[in-house]
Amino acid sequence: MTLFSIRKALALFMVASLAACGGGSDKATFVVGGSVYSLAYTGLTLKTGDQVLEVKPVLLAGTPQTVKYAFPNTIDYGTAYTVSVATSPAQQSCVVYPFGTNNENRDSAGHTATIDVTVNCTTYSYALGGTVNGLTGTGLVLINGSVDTLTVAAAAPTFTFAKPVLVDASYGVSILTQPAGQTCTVVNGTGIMPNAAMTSASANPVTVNCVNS
Amino acid sequence: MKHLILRTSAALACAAALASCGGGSTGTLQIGGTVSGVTQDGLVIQNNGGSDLTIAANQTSYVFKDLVPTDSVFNITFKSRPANTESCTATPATGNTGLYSVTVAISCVITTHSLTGTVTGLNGKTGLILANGPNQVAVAADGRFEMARVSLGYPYGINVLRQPDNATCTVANGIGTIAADVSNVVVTCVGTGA
Repeated sequence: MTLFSIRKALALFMVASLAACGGGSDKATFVVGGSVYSLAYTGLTLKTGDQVLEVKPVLLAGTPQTVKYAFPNTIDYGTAYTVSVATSPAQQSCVVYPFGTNNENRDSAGHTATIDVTVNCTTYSYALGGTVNGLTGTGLVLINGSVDTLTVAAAAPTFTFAKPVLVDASYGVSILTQPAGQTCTVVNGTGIMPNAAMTSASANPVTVNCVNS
Repeated sequence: MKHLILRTSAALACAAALASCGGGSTGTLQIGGTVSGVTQDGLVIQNNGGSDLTIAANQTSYVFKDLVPTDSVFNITFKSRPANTESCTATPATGNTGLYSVTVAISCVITTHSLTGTVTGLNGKTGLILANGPNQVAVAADGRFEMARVSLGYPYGINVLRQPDNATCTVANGIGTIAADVSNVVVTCVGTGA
């Protein structure tokens, strides 16, 4: 009989302490946040549930930087969440790590002490090329600074360097070696890489004009 | 009879091959790894002062032919390095072999040279930016300017990325291939108004 009452009291005590711990209405809440790495441009929006958050570079735009983010509304312990990239900057591709099938990160609040979802951004780079007029000789060598060297075949109407150039990086096309029997000059050889490839069809294309010497 | 001779010579060939492979020391572990920064011939490395291993231009990995014993000391040294390098390192250069093959990365740094010149005629005009491809240098005043260093054997082409306000600049001696420090690039600016 005594034993029974002790058991009962113990059971009651345990229920009481559980309630105190779990906090029925006072469930632990979590901020959905993390870091974006190598963010360089505006235009990134992240999504979790029905929340959409714009994340912008803090320092000078165009410079890859790490930016912390946090969605305004917290979620309760145990709530499943998904963070995904809604839009990337026009000049970058941003992906959530580790990404699932839809470029997203799924987990539940409380699985880790804090929610820290990483987003990695990569700036696009594009081909650098242009137009060649009047080239008949062999041996024309073009350079883009110290970065790339390109031998252009005789009669080639266009050229394209092998190494792509980052958006907003400068390029400078110069003639390292003139072709046999000709003299070439470069027009529009220097500029800042747009958010697209530079080709013979671009506005103000890089143009190499050759005449017989 | 014929078979026996064949077998004997095969066995001898095997023994000879093993001897040439095994070298002086015998062991079971291989030493090898990645190679970076080697664009010319001339790199020769050794382990514990043993036989030469020649690494050719643009090679990206290597393996010492001699196998080494477990729990023995290895010490990678450079007998010679390519003429266009200023240093080569092995990581880790020394250590103890454990139970497994050892990975040692070989990395050479190609010699770089300065690329400099002078600007004249700015006379206080601002905004000039020179570029060697992606390397940009803003020039604030007449005098000496310095671009990023360039590896030996690489080309350079200095252009005016941005003309200064109210002046036009042209570049002379702006194109070439790096063989030594370059200091003869001349940028001449002429005022175009105010």
